[in-house]
Amino acid sequence: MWHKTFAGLFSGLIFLLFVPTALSLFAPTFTALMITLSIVLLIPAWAGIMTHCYAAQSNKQAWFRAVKYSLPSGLLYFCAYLIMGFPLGLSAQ
Amino acid sequence: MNKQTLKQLTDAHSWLGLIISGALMIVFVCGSLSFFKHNIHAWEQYHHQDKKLSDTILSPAEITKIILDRNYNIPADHRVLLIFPSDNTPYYQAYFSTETEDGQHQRFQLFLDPDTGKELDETKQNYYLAEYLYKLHIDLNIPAGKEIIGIVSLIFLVIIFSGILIHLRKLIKYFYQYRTKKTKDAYLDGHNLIGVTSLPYTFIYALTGVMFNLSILFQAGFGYLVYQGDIDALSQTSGFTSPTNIQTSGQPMNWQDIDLAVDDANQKLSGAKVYLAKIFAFGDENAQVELRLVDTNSVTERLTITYPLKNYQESSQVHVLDNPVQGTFHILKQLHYGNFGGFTLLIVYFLLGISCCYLILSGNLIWLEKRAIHRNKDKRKSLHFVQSMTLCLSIGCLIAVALCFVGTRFLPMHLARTDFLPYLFTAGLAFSFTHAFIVKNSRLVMQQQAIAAALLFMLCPIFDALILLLNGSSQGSLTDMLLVNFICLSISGFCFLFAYIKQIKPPGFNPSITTLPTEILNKG
Repeated sequence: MWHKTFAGLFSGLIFLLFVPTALSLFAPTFTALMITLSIVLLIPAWAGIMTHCYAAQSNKQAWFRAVKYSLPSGLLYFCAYLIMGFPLGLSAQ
Repeated sequence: MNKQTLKQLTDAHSWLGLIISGALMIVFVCGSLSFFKHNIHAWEQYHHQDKKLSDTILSPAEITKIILDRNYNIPADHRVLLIFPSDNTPYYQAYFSTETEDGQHQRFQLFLDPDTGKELDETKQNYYLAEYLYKLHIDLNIPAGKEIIGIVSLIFLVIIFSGILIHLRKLIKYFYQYRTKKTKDAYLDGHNLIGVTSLPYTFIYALTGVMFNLSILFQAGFGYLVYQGDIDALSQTSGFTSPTNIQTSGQPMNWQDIDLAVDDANQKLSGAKVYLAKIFAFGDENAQVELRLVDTNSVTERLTITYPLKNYQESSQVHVLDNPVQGTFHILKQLHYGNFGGFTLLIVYFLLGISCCYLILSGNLIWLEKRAIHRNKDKRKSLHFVQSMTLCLSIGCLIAVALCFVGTRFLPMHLARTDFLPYLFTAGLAFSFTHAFIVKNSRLVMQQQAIAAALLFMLCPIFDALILLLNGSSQGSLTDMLLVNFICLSISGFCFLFAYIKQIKPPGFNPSITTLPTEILNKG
């Protein structure tokens, strides 16, 4: 149970943080919209990922599912970081 | 969905429900009562009310002058928050921080008499029940309670999702199924029926619970991953801005214009009145006052107006929907509070909140009895302790809240309830735990404690009715008194109903099965 809990909690959190921030880096003018979408859609998505991990047959499967969510999210942010450059100078806007 | 997945989801649903049931029960019971926070505050004072808001109180500008004359060293980038008096809180409240020479900050909280401007000692409030219940609702009155409630809300969302998935195939077909012949089915059916019916309500509460309490995650995430730690830029984007970069001139503040600004703001949004003011660069000529108007009858109407006190006519205003983050936050907040639908919606919300208490209690009992039947396989000594703890935090919460109501009504006035109510609440939980530990039979414990809570909740309405019949009315609000007593009677009725359902035993049910045999305990 603990494995499933932590797998879901952390992968959901990574998904919640990296996906909207990566999209914000790609489209800085829509950052406010991304924050809004994070509240309305990505909080339920976080709980959805946790539910998916709890539904796993074993701890190993739960961690595998967690990686399936967190790794692409991390990669997406990494790509945004590389492509769009950092810092973006958003604070000047 | 295959059987294995369903089993995993059912396990997660049961375990998570059990773990968070205590905190969730407190949040739901106190939250449901907090819909009537102002009414409870008036109810507390009904027999003692000697102070009402007079018609000739000092204006916000005059109160500002009183604070100004005390020469506090308030930095220009800080704000002074001034909350105006109302019938329920008949005094001005001022909150601000001062800065010492070595850069240390000291927080101040002043309560000022609206007639004389003299400082009141409100550290020992006599009327604390409404505030205490609200505090329990938002942070359980414990350190880091806000974050705990945030995590609990997230887990509650997981429980909702897993519950939907478990019940998905029967969601519509068996929606009206409520079997009264077998007890287990009766509360399992009740659990499912209420769970499905209250789904939109529970979903919005779980979502807003995470949003209110874990918003630090968004701040940290966007602040560091997008804005490189520039929190001001993030605040600018999300609309949480305040006029903090004010250039001070060293000239005195035009405090008289605060009243003109308030009068002007009161004309801007029909159905709303200014109830607080935030003053930035306090004491300086370039000070600015920010006033906020919220139309509680609407989900979307909120106006923030900033007035430079040098010339209040050069005001600027921002509507909440001008920024998507502010708009979403405000709409979800309004959906959480339910004021926009008037009194009817508050009653509906209250009933749904109490229904959720049934969800928690029935869910716990289903788990405890299922666990007790399979205990021979598990051979766990800890079951009895877990059972007592679960019962104490679920049904015991009703006893604890009822004790707070009784204490508020019957304790002598000189006893400061700010200090006393938390002890009373803890005593209620301790009693519940001890009772559950001694009696052992979970069904019997639930039944007896539900009856005890019902009787306690009945005491205040009976007492008030007697006083009313013998002495006539007092200076207090009769409507508020009747409403809160009606709410107490509703909860009492709910507890009696719950105890009655638990009394029905299924065919072949043996209550002694829930007590652990000695040989199993000895074997460990």
